[in-house]
Amino acid sequence: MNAITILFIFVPVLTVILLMTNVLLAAHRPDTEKVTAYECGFSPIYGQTRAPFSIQYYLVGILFLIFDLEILLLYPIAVTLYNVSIYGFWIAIIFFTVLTLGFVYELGKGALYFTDQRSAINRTTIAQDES
Amino acid sequence: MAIFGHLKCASVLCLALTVMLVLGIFSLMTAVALPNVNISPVLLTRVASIVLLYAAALSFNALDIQAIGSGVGIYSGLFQVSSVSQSVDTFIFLVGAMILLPWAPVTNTVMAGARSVFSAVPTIAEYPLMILFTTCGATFLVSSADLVSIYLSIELQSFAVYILATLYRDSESATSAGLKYFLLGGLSSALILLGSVLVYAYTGLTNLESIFALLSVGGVENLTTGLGPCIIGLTILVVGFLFKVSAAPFHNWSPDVYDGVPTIVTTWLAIMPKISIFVLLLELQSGFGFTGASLSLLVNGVPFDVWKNLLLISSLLSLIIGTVVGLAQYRIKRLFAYSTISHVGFLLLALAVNSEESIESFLFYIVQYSITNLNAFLILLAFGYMLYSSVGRKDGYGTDVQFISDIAGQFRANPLLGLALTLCLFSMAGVPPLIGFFGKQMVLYSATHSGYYFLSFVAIIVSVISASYYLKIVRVIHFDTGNVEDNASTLSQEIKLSNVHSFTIATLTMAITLFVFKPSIILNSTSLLALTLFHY
Repeated sequence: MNAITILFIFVPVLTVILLMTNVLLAAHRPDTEKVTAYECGFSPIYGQTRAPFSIQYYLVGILFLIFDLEILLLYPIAVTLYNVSIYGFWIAIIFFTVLTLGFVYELGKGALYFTDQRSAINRTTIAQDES
Repeated sequence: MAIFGHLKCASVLCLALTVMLVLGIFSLMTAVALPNVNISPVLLTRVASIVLLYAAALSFNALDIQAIGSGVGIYSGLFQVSSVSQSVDTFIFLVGAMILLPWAPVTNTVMAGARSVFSAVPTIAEYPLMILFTTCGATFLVSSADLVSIYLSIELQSFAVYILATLYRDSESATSAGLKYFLLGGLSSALILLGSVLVYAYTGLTNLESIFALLSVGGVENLTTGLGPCIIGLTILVVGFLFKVSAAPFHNWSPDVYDGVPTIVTTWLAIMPKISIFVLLLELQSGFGFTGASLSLLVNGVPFDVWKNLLLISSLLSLIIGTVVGLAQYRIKRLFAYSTISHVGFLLLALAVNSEESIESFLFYIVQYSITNLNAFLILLAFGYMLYSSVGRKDGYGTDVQFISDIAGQFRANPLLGLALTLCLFSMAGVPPLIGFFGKQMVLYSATHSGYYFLSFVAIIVSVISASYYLKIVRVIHFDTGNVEDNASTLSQEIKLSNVHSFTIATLTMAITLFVFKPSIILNSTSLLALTLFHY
């Protein structure tokens, strides 16, 4: 019996045990907030889909997601830095420079202000020049 | 050793081009973002225009390298620079720089209108930035020689164009058109990706030259074994490209999108992505020809050329649909969209014939199509500024001309602009002394020479029919009585067109009209480029 077989047997067994423990032993006092489906950021919508929701939340969420994904690219360079040597290092630096510029852009445009008046959402499309 | 010197020189020059564009993007991005840097968007647009002109000069410079004739692989073979790609780069940059020029003059009335309506002037700082991004993608696309680089550059080009389409985010029509463009563009990108994946899965290759070499081995009898799936993959890839250039069975998105987005963006949409994707198709085709490969199947022992037939069918449908459906349009940008589809039919015909003559006519047609369409859209923008910049439209379309009837009787109010638009439309219809006639004539001449009589016949009939809708606009401009009298805007003394804008229109109109007296500049370059594709 090799390691992978043990893994395939052990993981389901452990999962079932943990779930059963949860069902059997945990205190169960439901209220409305607990039994509703969990959607992060705002309350889930029933029936009517015309309820207002916060666009800023999605904006910040999407921007976070992008940067999270890009940071993921740091992992391969971390483990292969000895193999790709100085060339790979500089490529990675260029990549992160571009990423930083993107961050400067979104910060400068005010996309990260969540509820502020400075948020990019609230700004009009036309630049108000002072002249 | 001299050849290595040349190669190094070539890659350095191409690198210079990329660095120019990328530095332009970075500096504009920083300038747009930083709140303390107070540069007006008009200035940023001019800077972007100058960046594009410099890039045009750089790419033109690279033509002097001898080794470039047969093509030089750069960036470890991901891109292939040839004389065709460099010349098309130059052309793309020049046209792009010209599209950046049409701005309404920023006067106080206009700015007040901009605040109350929403988009009287495109004073949006991101506009030049997006233009640089999409131009970057377009120039990468014409020189890419690998499935990976093709996909990445086509996405770079398209994403920036999706953002351009929704640039006026307060406008309902622009937002919905942009969303539609994004969804259908995403669909076609998915097709391209699916095609690439099939090719890679069954050959293990992404480099185009290796794929062509593999395909040149012989006819494929079965679609499911051997190289068959690779052929299916390449076909799906081409279908994706045809989707992007809105060739006929895949054209349905383009009228809606062109109509919905602001005219200044329609100008970009109708011209730039088409140039780059058509040139990519040309390079794929010449790559096939170079290795002696063909995208053909053996059906009962008879070779059936999938590539050529795909292009020919698409061309036939584009010609017919672009013309017949265009007859029923009363919104001017929808009409231009259908006229674009019929021009795409001509381009595909010239591409599919694939003789030296026809490739020459194909390149020439691209040039004349871009110049004429660019001029037509610039004039539409100018009409919009003249009519609405001081009064503003009531229906929330900014200063864009929406209906053909909007410009009724404008020949009397603005004779020169009216005349210029008339010349453009005549050129599109193919009336003899203008540049459009020579484009159509060369395409038809090469097609009949190679024995494509049916399609040439269809093309001739169709261009007669399409003349009727161009003439309809001409009639409306010249003879209909519009609401010129009660329009106070025509009487005010305020400047309504910027100098650069009117200068560009004048130059382009002159180029269209006087081409017949000095045709050698464009004709010689296109015929030389066509020859480099066949004789290196």
